Amino acid sequence: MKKVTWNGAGNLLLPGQKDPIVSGDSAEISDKAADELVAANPGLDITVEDAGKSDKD
Amino acid sequence: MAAPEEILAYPLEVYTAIVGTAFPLIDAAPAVAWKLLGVSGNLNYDDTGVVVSHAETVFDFTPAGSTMPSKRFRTAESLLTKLNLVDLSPAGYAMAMNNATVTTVPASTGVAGEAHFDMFRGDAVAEFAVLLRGPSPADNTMNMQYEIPKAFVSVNGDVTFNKGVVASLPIEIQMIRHSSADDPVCRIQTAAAL
Repeated sequence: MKKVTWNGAGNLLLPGQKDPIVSGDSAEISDKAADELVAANPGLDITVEDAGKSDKD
Repeated sequence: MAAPEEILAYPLEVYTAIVGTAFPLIDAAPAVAWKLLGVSGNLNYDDTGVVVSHAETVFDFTPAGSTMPSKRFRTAESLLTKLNLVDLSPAGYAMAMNNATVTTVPASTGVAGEAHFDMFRGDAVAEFAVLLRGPSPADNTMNMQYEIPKAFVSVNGDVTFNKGVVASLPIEIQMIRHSSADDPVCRIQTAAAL
């Protein structure tokens, strides 16, 4: 799993999530979804970190 | 720019911030808390420029014994700034629409990236601190600025989408005043700091 933190203004609705996160907040998404997110959205103001657990957890 | 310095012909740039934000020193760049209106500042204002309108309503007292007014009273006044913003990016448009929150949806498998905001403004009107900045009429290499502690920033009018017409947001910035702490200031730099 990856922890995605939103650094931009307003809200961010991450893929597969029901509710958006506010600026400064974070959410966990799968490694695959995080990789896709970064590849498909260059310039998106996010920080992606390892959440310290696998996608199966 | 050349002398005479007091003659100005240059559009101001408009910044907004949360009410209570400290205004920048006259010779300093605005802090990050001050958001430039238009992603490229006055390059996103149409050529009607930035209009600062000083309106007032007065009442003249003409006594029975005279045909000319002997005293004038001011009964209302306003400070209104107007410009046409040619920046329809989500952030600019949403800010003008009562500071609506933009939700960004990044692209993912089967989902196109987009950003959206609510256009219903409701009865509560968003307030901002507003800074207008341009060249000083004392020395055009220095700054002048209007400091407006509280103002309504809104879109009031038509956004026209048509051939040969640049779509713009008619922005109105209406100063409001609850107390003397909200009084606007026009500050003109006259010399550099030592």
